[in-house]
Amino acid sequence: MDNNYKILYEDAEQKCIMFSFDDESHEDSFLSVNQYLIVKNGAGLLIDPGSEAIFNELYDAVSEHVEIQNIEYIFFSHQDPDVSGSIAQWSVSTKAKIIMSSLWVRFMSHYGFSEMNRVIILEDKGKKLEFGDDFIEFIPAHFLHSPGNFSLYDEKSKILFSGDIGAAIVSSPEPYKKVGNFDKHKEYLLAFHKRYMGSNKLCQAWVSRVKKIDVSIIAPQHGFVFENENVHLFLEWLNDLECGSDFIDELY
Amino acid sequence: MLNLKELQVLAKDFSLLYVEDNEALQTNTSKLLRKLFVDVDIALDALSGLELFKKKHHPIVIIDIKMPNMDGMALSKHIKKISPETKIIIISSLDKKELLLKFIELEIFRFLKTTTNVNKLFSALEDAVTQIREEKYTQEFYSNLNDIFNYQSSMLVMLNNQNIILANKIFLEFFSYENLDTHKKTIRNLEECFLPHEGFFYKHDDIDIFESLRLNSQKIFHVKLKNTQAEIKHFILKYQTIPERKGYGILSFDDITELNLLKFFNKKELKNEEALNDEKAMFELLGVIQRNGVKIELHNYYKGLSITNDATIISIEDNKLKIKTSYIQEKAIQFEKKTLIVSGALPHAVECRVIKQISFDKQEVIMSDLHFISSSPITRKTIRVVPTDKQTVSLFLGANKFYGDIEIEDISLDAVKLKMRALPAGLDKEKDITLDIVLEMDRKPFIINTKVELFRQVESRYSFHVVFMFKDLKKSMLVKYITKRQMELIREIKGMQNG
Repeated sequence: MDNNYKILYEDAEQKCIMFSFDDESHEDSFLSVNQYLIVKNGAGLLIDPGSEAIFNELYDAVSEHVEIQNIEYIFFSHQDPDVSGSIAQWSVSTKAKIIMSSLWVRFMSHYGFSEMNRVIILEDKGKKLEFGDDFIEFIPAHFLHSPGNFSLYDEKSKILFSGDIGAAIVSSPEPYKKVGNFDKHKEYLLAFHKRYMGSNKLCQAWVSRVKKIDVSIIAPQHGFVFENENVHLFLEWLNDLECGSDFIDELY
Repeated sequence: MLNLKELQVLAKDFSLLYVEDNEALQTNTSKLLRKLFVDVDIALDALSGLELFKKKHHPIVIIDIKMPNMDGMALSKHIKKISPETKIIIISSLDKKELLLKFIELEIFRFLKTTTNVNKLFSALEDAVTQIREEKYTQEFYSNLNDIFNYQSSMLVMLNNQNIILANKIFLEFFSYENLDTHKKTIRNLEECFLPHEGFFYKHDDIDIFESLRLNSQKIFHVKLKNTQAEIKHFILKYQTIPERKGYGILSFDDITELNLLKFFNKKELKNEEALNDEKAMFELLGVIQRNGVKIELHNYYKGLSITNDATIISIEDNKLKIKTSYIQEKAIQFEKKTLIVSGALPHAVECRVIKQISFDKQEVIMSDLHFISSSPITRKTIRVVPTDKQTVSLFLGANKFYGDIEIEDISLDAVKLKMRALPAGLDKEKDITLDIVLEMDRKPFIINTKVELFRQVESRYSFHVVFMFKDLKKSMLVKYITKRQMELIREIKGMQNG
């Protein structure tokens, strides 16, 4: 991984890039953050661009791959500040349409964003959208962990940008944040998922939906990406995971 | 299970026929049946049972299987042929397994052994009466609904998911079909009947017609349909879900062909100012929106900040529109006056230039001077903000400073719009122009010093409004300024909301 980015997919028309800019003031939290960019025939789709603190760095990094004015869409998987905190900066800097859950639109003014006519609102069941000659699909991931939450599936690269699902608390930055040994990685996944995810029933609903599509990489917003057999291993692990309300007695 | 009194109430409107050749059994059982049903007919053999049934068409019949001349199965067959809805309860000493296939074939409601206790018989009768009542209710419901449907002046169809279950006369007549059954095949492909037209609702690559309707049950759509006489008609389509009946909804087609609104959807015709200025047609369309109770969207700019909220049209009178909207939108309207109305049912935004009245108590606004506009600020892609009064601007043509009053009207990442009392001599696109702007950010001066290019100048009564595009400006600080200013403006307007 050079210059804080890694190409996850590339062909003649499209590339998918992973960035890893952390808010340095919170480095001790060890919850490393990933941002993603899809560039197709010169047009960009930015995914979970993160907080205001990393805006300048990410802006410069993104502009190495796509003309900022050619960013067509910016997708926010949910409302958290490490996902959507820079919405006002990106809306000023681009002409992009903003894509997010209907649940969070009204809250975006707290981040200084008010251009509601630029928002493509996602209803609970999700949406398919044409991007270039292919489709991207917004897959419901509600309560995993946000109540209005979506994963983004890119039909061309077969990458599933999963937001907080698959996030891991890892202590040190690595050249390319890819899961090697899944059994070892489980311990980093567990702490986050057990507390942040809604319930096993919700995990199963998402896994069942994801199993209907052909996924080559699961790319979460925190931690490491899952490739090849680790995709399957992660889905099986998540399907059986007890979390959130399954531990209600521990919470109340 | 209901008690005897409750069962009597449930059964009081129905007659029952009991056919049994065993006199002793018949006497005992009929005593029990008369405790429930007021109207009980008894027959000692199948033939006389059939004669009685032909006269009364009893909704419930209890039959013994083994009888001389004609057996219970043959009698059941005759009864079902006359009245398929009749609930037949078989009482027999025979084994159910042997007769199972015949029961299924004849749709026998229940089988009871001769040795069955009274409770099981009453339970079977309760189920039969309950089912008959439900069927009757459903039948009456659809009959009444059909009457209501046929009374309407719009084409109406009721859908269960994607299947049509009811259509009114006007709809069937449009497609020249005698009844729904013959039309069902076409209905299955209803979405294919919507003809393609720009701005209209029709099936194309990325749209699932029924899914879109389900998700937009409060919106209206323009559709074009061709009838069997090859006439093309323009309709307003609306889908309404039926509360508490999952999967059910009503499609209504309101024929507006005579309003001649297609020109608004035709780009070529819209170049012709006449079409854009057809106020009568525009108000007709707003009237359609009002009648359908569909919400419109209002757009205003508060010092550059986009304020958008829903509104409903209350009335249209003397080319004035009375709408109801949110308090914050009213504040934005009060500030900007010029308001844009947008709706999926409108081919273009409607601009309103004059605000006649704002009532903050009733949350109502009366607007006038309305007209379609072919391009609107809501398609504007860059964010412009109005800076605070703490600003200075100096303009240089080459090395020469221009001494004149200059004020920033708004600023974006790409350009700045200045209000100038006078223009410097020789100002044109080819000139080497520099702007030196000082704004305030975080209570410190924020300086922009950049080469610019003249983009546009408009003269008004007392001043010039000049747009300069930035050249080679490092934009990151300007992004910061605009986002901070946006936040200030959001706080400002939210402050107004809180009084």
